[in-house]
Amino acid sequence: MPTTPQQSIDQIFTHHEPAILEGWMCEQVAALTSRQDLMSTAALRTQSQAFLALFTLACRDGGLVDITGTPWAPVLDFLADLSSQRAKLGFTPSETATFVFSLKQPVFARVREELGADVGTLVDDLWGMNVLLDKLGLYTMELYLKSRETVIKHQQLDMLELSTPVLNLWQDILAVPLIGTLDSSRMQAVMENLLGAIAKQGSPIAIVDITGVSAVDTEVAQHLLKTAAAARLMGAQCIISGISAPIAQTMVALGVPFGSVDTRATLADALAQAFAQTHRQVVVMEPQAY
Amino acid sequence: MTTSIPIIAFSELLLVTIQGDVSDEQLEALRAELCERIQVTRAKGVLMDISGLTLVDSYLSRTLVALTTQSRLLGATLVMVGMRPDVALTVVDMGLRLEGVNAVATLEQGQALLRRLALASGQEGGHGHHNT
Repeated sequence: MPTTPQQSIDQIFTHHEPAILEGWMCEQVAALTSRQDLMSTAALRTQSQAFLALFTLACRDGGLVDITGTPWAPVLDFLADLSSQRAKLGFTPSETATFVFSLKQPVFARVREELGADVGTLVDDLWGMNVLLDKLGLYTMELYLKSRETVIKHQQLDMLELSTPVLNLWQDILAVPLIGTLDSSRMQAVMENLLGAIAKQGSPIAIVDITGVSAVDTEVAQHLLKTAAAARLMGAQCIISGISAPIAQTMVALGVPFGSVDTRATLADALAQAFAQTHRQVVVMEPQAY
Repeated sequence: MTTSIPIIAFSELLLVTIQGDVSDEQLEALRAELCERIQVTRAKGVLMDISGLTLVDSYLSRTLVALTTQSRLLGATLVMVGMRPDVALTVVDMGLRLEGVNAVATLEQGQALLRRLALASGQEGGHGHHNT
């Protein structure tokens, strides 16, 4: 009695699951020998076994063609978890996809063994299996990338928070040291933090130091001016320090009207200016006689 | 009938407190009353507490400039105290210019500024020293 491809495949999985698992494990361990640091063989075996069980069920109930149906949902969920887990652990994309693709070899070997005589069915089965595993592999990749994007987004948010501290440099003197690349959203955060601190502490002087900033564009310059103007309305004077020579040239070329803002070459100069403005003086002490 | 914005006199200064939403009529009344009070008390300084102000429009900012100018004409320096960050940003975003208006963060700073200006004055009306 001839069997349809689907029947034979799902029989092969049901009957030879342990053998396929062994073969698959060999393949995976060979491919992932370098990643023993990220995941132990035992954990990999547990994961593979769980996947194979779900996969066998899905093959039996859902067919090999359409993986969007309900029977395949548990398999896809499993792969989604696996992808995001591996993305966080630091697996590379190809290492992640290998999980699915390495299943081909043992499955194909088993199918050939079972259906070796019947060439027509063999080719059909192998093709169906190939397409199915490719689909699952691509799905894994897609989710891997998605979870990597999420990680990146989180890191961006963290950076945004980390990168904009408002320091109490001295009594009545606030300072914001800016480092790295300035963009609009970061400038917005800086502006809000600084104005909030001015309102809270009533500081008459705020120094914005941009020594560590590599480049400034028109938008960022406008934000700086806006911050200075708003601070002035709140009763605080803004001093911008650490404008590098290239940034100064860019500002002039862009025609940014920095004339209305106090600028100083270095943070030290800005602090000296702030001391003068708050009627403070730094005095060098005479060395004590022993 | 709306209530008028209170003006309190203390130690040769006038203290004006603006709270919450103010109508254009209230502001109009304030302009007239502040002139009168400056003349009567011979105050040299006006502290205008706007920390309770949550909204600012072009009329209000024009009024602030007008109050500053007319106070100066009468020999008093007007100082804005405690503008909120969001209000300050709105003013800047709207492109409103509060030219010649003195601003400080706290009442103490306002008093100190007025004291300094009074010491430095004599030859001049004593305005614009605070880099506004």
